[in-house]
Amino acid sequence: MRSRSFYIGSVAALVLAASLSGAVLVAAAPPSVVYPPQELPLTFSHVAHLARQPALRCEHCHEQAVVSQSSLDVLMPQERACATCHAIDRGQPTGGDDPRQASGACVGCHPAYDPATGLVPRLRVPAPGIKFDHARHRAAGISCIDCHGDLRAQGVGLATVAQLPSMASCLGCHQAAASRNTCDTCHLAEGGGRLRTALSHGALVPRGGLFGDRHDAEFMRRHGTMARAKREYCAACHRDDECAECHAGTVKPMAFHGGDYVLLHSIDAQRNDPNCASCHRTQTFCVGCHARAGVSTDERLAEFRSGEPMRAFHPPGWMEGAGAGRHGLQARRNLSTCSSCHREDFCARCHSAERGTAQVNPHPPGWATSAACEAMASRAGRMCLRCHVEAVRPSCEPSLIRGR
Amino acid sequence: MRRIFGVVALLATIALAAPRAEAYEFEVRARTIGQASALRLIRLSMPDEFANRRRFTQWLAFDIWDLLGTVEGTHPWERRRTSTVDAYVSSMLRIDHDYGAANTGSVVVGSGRVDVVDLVPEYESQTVALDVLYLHGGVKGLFDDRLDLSLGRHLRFDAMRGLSFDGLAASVRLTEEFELAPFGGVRVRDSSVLGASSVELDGTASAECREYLEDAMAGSGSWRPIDVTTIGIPDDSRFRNERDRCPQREVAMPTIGLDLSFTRGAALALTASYRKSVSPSVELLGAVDRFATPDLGYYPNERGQAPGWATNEELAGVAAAALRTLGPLRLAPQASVEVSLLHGALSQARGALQASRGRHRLTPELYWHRPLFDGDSIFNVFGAAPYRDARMSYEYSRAGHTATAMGWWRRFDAGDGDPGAAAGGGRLGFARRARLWTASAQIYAEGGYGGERFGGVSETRWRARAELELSARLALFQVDSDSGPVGGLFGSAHLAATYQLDDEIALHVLVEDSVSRYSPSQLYGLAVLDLAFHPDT
Repeated sequence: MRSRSFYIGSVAALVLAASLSGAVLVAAAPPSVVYPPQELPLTFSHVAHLARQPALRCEHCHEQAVVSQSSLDVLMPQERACATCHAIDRGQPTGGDDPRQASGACVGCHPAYDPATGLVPRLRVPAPGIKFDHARHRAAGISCIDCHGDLRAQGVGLATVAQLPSMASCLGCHQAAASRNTCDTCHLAEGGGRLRTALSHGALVPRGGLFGDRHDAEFMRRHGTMARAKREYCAACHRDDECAECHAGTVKPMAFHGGDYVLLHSIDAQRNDPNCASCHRTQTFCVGCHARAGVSTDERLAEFRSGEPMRAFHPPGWMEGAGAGRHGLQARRNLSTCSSCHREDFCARCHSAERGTAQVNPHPPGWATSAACEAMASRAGRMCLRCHVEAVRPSCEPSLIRGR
Repeated sequence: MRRIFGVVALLATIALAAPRAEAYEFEVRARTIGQASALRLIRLSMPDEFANRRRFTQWLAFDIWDLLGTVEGTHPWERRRTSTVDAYVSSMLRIDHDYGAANTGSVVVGSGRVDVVDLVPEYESQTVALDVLYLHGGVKGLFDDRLDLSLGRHLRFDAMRGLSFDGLAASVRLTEEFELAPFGGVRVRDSSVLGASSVELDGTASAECREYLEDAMAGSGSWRPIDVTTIGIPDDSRFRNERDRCPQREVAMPTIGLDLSFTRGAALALTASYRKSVSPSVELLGAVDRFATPDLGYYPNERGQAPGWATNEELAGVAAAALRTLGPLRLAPQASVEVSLLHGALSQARGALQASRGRHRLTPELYWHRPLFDGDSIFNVFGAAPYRDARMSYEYSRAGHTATAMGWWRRFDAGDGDPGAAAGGGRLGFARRARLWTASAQIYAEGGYGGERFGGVSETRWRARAELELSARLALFQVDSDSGPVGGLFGSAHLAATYQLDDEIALHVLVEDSVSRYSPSQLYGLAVLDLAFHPDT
């Protein structure tokens, strides 16, 4: 038997190994997947341009914005828009003596202009991961400031992705969660309206902006309540087959059931943590495998014999009395565990009112007068007849509830 | 049997031969999965044996939209709906076949050999199954986007738990905030046409399939196993096990239900649901009266005491999720309650509050659960007691780094003075995510009812090339289980690779080896041809 320090040391080594492997990685924040990082090697001041007199309006430079219907459109001002004020002359890249000509020098806007080659670094503005119709918003009376903010008041120089609208500002008007299938109003969608979550710069994953939907480390275990509260919201991204792949799955999920889980599952099954019934039907799934493996009451396959002490699965005294180490307590604690080996008829050999059985009362104290008994007798009375074969009718009459 | 294999082979060939096709009108998603492992057969007086499992599974999901041509443009940035109305068909088919010796072999019983599937009838649905998990068509957005209708086999998730039914579902948007969604039909059971055993209510009821045989005097009869040879099944039939003649499991189970949803912006979503499944009581087993005394049915019924119908499930529940922002603090409470009207009892309740501030998130959570069974199961009256959980999790994330801590405690109400009526544990985790790498490590310790376990898991993923991702996982833990003699040090390692062959087509391969004192090497292999692949990052 190895010492406990060996195990602790092994675990520590695992953690250290993972940490070191992480330490050599290139630390980088995941990019915004909706607004991918842009490369804008420019010198520009919105504040200065908006402050000049006579006042410039946004569309003076961004002239295509007023008619654009697609977020794929390039709405950054082109050279000719700048040239309405700046004397840009590619023949004189350094400008001239005239102040108006000087403002047209390449380096005025392109600080990395290389006079030797005459080249300027390219601008890269990847397509955003959303749809947007500028013309429709303008027609609806939405101004540029409503979405992009007041750049002059905010002192914005070069506008970046930070000046693009946030989801919160969109929801100010759209209230996306209030009605069905409206996520695809802005987000890219596949056929049928489901969102495209695999974007060019990463996966689109909720970050907690709606109903606490953040897909954090515990979300896999906790997602049920969210799905129950508003299934349509989940369905905006997830198809039914994604639910079925786990909840009616046929592949061992490594995150839950890694390693030799068949051998190790007994702890989880006894505690019912995670809830086995979320994905498995107790008898159709468990009983068959247990019978085949030899852990069952089927004597044709099982190695265990309850009547032979040396071959008993359960500890001595298991079937007798009540309390710790007795089957009654364990059954009340998690009956699902029992039913993974024992079909109900096995229990009825003792816990039945039928003649010829031990007639041990399985009901909890006060059963005859309980609301549960009334509810079951009135709604599922034929089940009562499985044991109470002499009953005139399924009921909670105390005379029926007898036995040891 | 040969016909089933023929159909399986034909469908598999068609699915494998067809490349993934996608347009805005339809989409086919397919996964072909092969698994190989071994099932340990416990032997007390000699070394354990191993029976191999070789499982072939194929998922085929097929969706068609825009049958009415109400969408303009095919490009995701340009797709635009010209009408709220859309007609669609959505389906998912699964072929599952385990042809390893564990399922399809035979064992010596007495003086002869018996097929495993005859001894273990539950294996039938795993040995070969052709399941339609859902197949429904419908129209959305009728009456100015106020009504949706669908007909067929549905998977449905309401405020309680999932179910599958064949029938009609509707969704009526009463106002911008309220939506009513009734449905009705027949619940899908293992015995349904192309029904999956995994959607069975729970599979406990009448598992051994006995029927009540009355004797000379009323009430003096007894329950006896159904003698299948008396109802026309040849003794040498492959399907002669008693479970195939379990009549109460095979009757139709009419089901109705209703969801009422309320949504207020991004701040509150609430759904209240009700549903009920009933089934008729089985009467004569076939047309032939086989008994000396009158066959009055499956249940004792000489005085007419067996009700004609019974409820298998009747649930009502509410689930809610909300979001409230208080300055820098973001609060997201979630709650759900489920009551079984059939049992006259609360069946589960959960409440959680996710509090976020900047990079920190703290989530306290309470959970209460009582196990319930199909209304036909006598397990329902065995006085099962509930258990309750308290959990607390914390997460810190910053620029690709995530640290987590979680603690939990579960108490079982059935105590009887037993100090072992509780279990608890904790977990610490760290993950780092970079452009080409992710690495994570987790250590945990838990004990109490069920046993003790402590150890750690480390996992690394590396995008070696644009189309190739490799991953490795290493786990090491010490176990001492309360159930049986399972214990000792366990280790497992897996290596996996995902190779993207083409756009949305990938091949996944995984090999896992586990080591313990019970086995020097326990191998598990998995290969998936994925025709609907979306990379994680």
